[in-house]
Amino acid sequence: MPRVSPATWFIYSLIMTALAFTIRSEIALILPAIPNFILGLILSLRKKYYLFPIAFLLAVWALFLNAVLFVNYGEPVVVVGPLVIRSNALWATLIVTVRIMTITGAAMIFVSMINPRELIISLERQLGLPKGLAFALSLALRLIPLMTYDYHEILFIRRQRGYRTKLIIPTDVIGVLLPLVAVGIDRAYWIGIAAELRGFQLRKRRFNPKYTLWDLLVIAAAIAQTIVSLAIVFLH
Amino acid sequence: MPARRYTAIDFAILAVVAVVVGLIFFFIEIPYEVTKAAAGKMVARIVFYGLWFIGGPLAGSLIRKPGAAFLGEFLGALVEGILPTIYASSVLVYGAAQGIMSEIAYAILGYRKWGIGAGVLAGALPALVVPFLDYLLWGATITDVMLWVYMLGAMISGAIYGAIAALIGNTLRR
Repeated sequence: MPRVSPATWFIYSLIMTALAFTIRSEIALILPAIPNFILGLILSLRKKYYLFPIAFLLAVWALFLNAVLFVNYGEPVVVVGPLVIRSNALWATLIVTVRIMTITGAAMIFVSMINPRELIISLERQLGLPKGLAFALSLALRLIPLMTYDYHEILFIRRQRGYRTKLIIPTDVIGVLLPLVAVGIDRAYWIGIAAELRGFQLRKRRFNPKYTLWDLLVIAAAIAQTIVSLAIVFLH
Repeated sequence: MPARRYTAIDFAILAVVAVVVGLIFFFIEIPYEVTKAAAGKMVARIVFYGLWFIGGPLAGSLIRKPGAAFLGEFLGALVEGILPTIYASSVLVYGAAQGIMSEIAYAILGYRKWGIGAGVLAGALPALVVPFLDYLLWGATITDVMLWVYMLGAMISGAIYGAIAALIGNTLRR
């Protein structure tokens, strides 16, 4: 696979999301939705992200339930015992599914094509992310395994003390969040002091954008999909 | 006037908040969808939705500087977006909008009050933008009245979790 900068995939994903939010014609959205979703599904299954299709199906099922509850009018299409599913409920589910397919497709492509650490470096170099935010994000990625370990330790201690380990009511959330954030903050103080002592404030911003032909092609693909969708909107 | 300049310690605390809220955002996605599919959107909203607003009040009450509430919510959304989630960059849109609303809550209070009341406001205000964004995405499957009812559910949930976040933030600052 040719090398495309993670920042480019980030921009691509943002453009597709913007399309899903702004284009009001569902017919115009089908064009980016289907290819992005199929490509995203193939790429994410290759990376073994099985949660994507499950979460997508759950979201569509929830949409359908919502549509049956609130916008179930028009001609009857399916009759299951006392439940009558009408044309508008199905149509509404379909058009919102197209929107989700556009977002999910771009999301699956994005997470399958990037490495989080490379993404942060790329956001700083290609898009000029401020050094403080780049530092916070890099540190956040390094903290994930440490805090996951802390989280399991807290759950283990709660289990030993006879407390619930499932976070059901707000006091459960406090009981887990408070020690987790306390340990994290303690760590953050020392990391922050160490970074200041090493001249964090003097560190220069690394904004040096360089785009390859492949980056430009990905951006061009996003722009082309936008133009075609807008053209369909205006022709309709 | 409170100090405005961010130090490496502030950014490190932001990193901790981003991880905590990013992981919360990430892990409640499936329970939220399951609850929504099984018990309806309103129940899911009240039980879970406020957790998506927790970044603003948590970062705001811990760092206590202008911009902290926005960054806490937005970086949390960015961490969630980097982890594999089906809504990827749409969570950035929601995160940015909700972060701005949390920031407005602290700005209204002149960046001088960081207690539980401020946390409630910073947790509840993000619910105001949710119906507009929801309308753009899910508009076809929901009536306008229900959008406002859901907003109320999100606001109640946000106020509860905002209070929790502020309580945690204030406890840890002592």
